[in-house]
Amino acid sequence: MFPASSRHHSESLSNPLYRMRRERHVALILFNVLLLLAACIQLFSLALSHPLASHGDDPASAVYLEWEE
Amino acid sequence: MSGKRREVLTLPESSSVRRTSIGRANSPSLLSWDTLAAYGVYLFALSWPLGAWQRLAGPVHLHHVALAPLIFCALRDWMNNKRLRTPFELWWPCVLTAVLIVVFKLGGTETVSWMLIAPALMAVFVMHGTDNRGVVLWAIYLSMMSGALMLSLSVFSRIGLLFPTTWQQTSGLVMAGPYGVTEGFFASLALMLLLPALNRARRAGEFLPGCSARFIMLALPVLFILWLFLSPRPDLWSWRPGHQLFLHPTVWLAAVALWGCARLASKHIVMGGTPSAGVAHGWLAVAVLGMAATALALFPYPEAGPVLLLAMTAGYARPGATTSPVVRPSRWLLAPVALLLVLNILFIRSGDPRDYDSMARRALVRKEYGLLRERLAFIKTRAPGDTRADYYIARAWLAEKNLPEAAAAFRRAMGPSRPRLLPPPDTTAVDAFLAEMRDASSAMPERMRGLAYEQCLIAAGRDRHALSLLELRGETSTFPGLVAGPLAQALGTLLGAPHLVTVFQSWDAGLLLAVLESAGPMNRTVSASAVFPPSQLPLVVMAGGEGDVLHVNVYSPAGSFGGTLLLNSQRHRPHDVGTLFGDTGWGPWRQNAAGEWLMSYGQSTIIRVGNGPQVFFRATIPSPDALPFHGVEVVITVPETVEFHE
Repeated sequence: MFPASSRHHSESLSNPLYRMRRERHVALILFNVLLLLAACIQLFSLALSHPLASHGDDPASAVYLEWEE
Repeated sequence: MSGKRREVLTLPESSSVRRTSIGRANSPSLLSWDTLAAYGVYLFALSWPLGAWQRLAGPVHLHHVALAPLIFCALRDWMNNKRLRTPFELWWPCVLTAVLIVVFKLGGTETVSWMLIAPALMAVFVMHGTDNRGVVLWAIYLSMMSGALMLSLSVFSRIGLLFPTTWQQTSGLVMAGPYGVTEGFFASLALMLLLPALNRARRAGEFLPGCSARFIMLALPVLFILWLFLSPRPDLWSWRPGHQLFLHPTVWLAAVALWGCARLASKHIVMGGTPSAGVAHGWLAVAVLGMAATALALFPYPEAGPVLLLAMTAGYARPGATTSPVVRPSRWLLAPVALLLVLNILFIRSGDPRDYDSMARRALVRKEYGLLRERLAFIKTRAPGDTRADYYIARAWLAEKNLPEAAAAFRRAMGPSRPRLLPPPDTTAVDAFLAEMRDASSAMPERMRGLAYEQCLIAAGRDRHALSLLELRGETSTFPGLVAGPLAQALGTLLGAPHLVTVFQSWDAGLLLAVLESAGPMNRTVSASAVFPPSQLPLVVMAGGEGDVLHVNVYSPAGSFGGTLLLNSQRHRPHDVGTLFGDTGWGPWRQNAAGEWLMSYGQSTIIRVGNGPQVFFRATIPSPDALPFHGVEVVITVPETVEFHE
């Protein structure tokens, strides 16, 4: 799924020190992506928690619906 | 793994361990520590998805036992080589997590549990014990087998064939096996995220399971979709992500765990480009990142199973990892798992999630009465014949000094029982409840205590005790022209004791009047008008609410009648009805243009006394809040000639 770009690159990865540096580099990118995702999920949660997003549970709107019936 | 590092344990020929641990392929003649570790991983992988069904005793589960060889191997290697086989870049986040937990706990933080150290250290041991790609793939496959079984049991529990081990009050989701719906949901997703990696290894010939593998790998998502399809559709609100992730101290632990996941995924991505790469690195990286992202959204408790999956995948990314498993799992591993599964399904032992007795006792000590009633109400929907649940509902109401509700629940608890989970309450429990009810009743003013204690005594079969207490409520005096029959019938209904009506009919009418008046704070006796039909007097009207049901009963010398009104609490919201519809409760007698006598109960009921007494209910009821209280309100109408004390 993640093929090596070249044979030279593949051979370089056989070097433990080079591989370790590369792993750290990739891990840093992935860590930042995960942090960004966590922030987006929290924003989504915040949006759901907003009163306007949950008007169905609002007592005032419930009374209004009762009157409509 | 170098041959020099591998320790070899020689066992005698007759050893039972030797007989049971020999695999089908690559069967070693000697039982090595690596073989033991592999079996530990297999047993762990096979047992963890079944959760509560794999409990041995107390908090100890089968997967805890399976950890023993892994821990032993790690400690032995540490003592011999002064190092672990776990890569440094992967074990330091685990150790840092454990250290942070210790620091937070010593600092007095209550939101972090000591128990979180266990999965962190477990990850180190599992990563040490799995450096073989074959073992990793087999363990993932075994977890999928158990996961599919857990999901099928959850489907059974959804349709009522099996009592669930966990449920969510808000969404109505149930699962059989896991200790939490969120945790079970997360575990199922984690296993499905690993499906592509396993399938890739199978197609490439790196993983050679039996012919059932294709079926298992298909069954897992199918069962998950079936479980979702059968479950009630939860609203988005109940699935909103928690915000604990960004709060101290969880944020630090979450950050370290995220770094560990990112580091693990990066190992797979980079290893995928090396000459010694396996075929499933890419999909395993996707699975690790997918698990991390799902955990960010669901925020499950970090249980052992998903931690095992993550830690095992590290073994696949080792540079020197071999593809052929050190030993293939034996079918004998299924025996303890199947045995525990059957035992735990059939028998409810102390500590079982279905053992609501222990749960209720804990909740009563913690004074979580509302939560306890909610959980027991769910249990009653699945096990309506379990009167022990009613008993604990009564205990919760009694602890809140709500005597009418406590008495009503206790009467249900003393009713006919058809237990599905636990037996009905025993004599000791009944005695304890009656003693508590007596104390609570005595501590209240006479007009407020009602007949709750007497109702409970009669429900428990102690009629003589109840009758002697009732006789103390009034003086025996004669009211000329007052018939005792309707009063006796009303009292029999109030006490839930129709078999005692004949006894009450032999009592004096004055005593019955006093008992009925003292049965509730709103009860009263009124004089009828001179033109009220004398054949209907004394007339007892009684209204009482229980849940969403309103019972109205009328007793007169002309006969007894009544009705039951079912209120739709889902449709009628309890807001502001009191202010919209005015006062509730029994009103005064009034006469209409046709000369009939009317008495209304709130907005819902009208009693009409004309040629014959009748009860009418309104077609549209404002709300259950139209009821004044969850008790009984009695009005006794006596002839004008009777003198009574107001």
